[in-house]
Amino acid sequence: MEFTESQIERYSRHIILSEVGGKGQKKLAAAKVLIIGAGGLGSPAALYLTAAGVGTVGLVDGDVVDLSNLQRQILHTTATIGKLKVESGQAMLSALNPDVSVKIHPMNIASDNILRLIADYDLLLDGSDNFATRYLVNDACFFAKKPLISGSIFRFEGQLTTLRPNDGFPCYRCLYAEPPPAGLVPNCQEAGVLGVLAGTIGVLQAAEAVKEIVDIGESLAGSMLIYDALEMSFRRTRIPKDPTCPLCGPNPRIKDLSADYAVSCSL
Amino acid sequence: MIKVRIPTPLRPLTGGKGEVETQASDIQSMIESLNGQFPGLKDRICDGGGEIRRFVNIYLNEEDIRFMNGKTTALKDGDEVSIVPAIAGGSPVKSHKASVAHLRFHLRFPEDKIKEPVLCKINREFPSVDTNIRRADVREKTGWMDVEFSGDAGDIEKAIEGVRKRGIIVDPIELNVVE
Repeated sequence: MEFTESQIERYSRHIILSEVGGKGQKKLAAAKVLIIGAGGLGSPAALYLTAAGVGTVGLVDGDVVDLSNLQRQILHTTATIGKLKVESGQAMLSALNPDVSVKIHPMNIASDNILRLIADYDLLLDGSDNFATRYLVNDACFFAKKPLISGSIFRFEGQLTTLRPNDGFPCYRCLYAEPPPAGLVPNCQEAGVLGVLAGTIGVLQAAEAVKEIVDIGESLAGSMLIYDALEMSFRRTRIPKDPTCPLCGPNPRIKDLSADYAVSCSL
Repeated sequence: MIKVRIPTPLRPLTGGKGEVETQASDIQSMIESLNGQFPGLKDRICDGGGEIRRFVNIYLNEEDIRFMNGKTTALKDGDEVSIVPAIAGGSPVKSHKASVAHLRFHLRFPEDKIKEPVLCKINREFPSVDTNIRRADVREKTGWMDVEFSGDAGDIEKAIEGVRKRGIIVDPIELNVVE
């Protein structure tokens, strides 16, 4: 594909970066990225990927916009309260960059629909807010051989990692073998979350996505970044591939998506 | 001295502190020593059998102790240890199975609430949820109890919300089984 005059101008600050250039910008234009959850993490990630000229941005979320979302979910506005988040998000993203094809999936993902859903995309961002979805997305991405950029937030703390288990790096199950049982971890409604924190982690997910697509810099695969907003500190830990991993280890127990995920995962 | 990084979810137990110091020769003794300073911390990190919970990772400097010597990983002066639990960022997992859940919570009563018959009121307000006091220490001015709530997980959540609304500080301890 060739860029138009106005596209060259729109992406000029990328194109003059030697690491990106016209070649990298074309990779972005050809990329298809699916964002799981059009909420706190998905909002800033979707905005920056759309601004960056990613060719196709998919949003999956079955929820509608609520007033209490607006403290952090910047894809939505007071005027879109009550609308489907994916529709509210699509309007915002298309207004930001009409070059981008914004695909919407107003649904909750489940083990019987996720593989079909992700087949059309080449990179995923997980911005979901519950463990059932997180493990389901991890497993589906492993089977479908799609890289996954995982972000999560709680109160003042965020975690970020890139999962590429098919390239010799760990998966989410290597990092955390099992999800916490329901009831053990307070939810955001009880515990609260700093709105800006969602922005910080969501934007870092977008940054890692751009790097994966353009294939520059050092991937976060094999490491986890931990951000503490109160201290303004970033720490990085190493995540080895777990040789006993039930999904991506040499003797896997999980061979399909029939494991015990919640039937339908709330985003 | 060993520096230990405390994650946000556990900070209510350390008086809000994100970094604490302790003396310990290995991870196991570090957990015990921390629990001495901050009672209840061990229960949050380890399961009933004393094993580190599968959704809690402990890093010595930047390395995961699961891939070193686990709980017996040796510590030396100046080491930095981070406790990092899995976080998802939001709502509780929706389960579609109707089942009886047994959830344990640590209830702390502030001084002005110590005389209120909170559990009795909760029992009346949420008759589908059973409460069972497993451990308690109630004194003139302070009090805590470990209470097991049994019933539908959603109803338990509402009952806990009711306890919190009455000014009691509630921390989850452990989820046992689904029957």
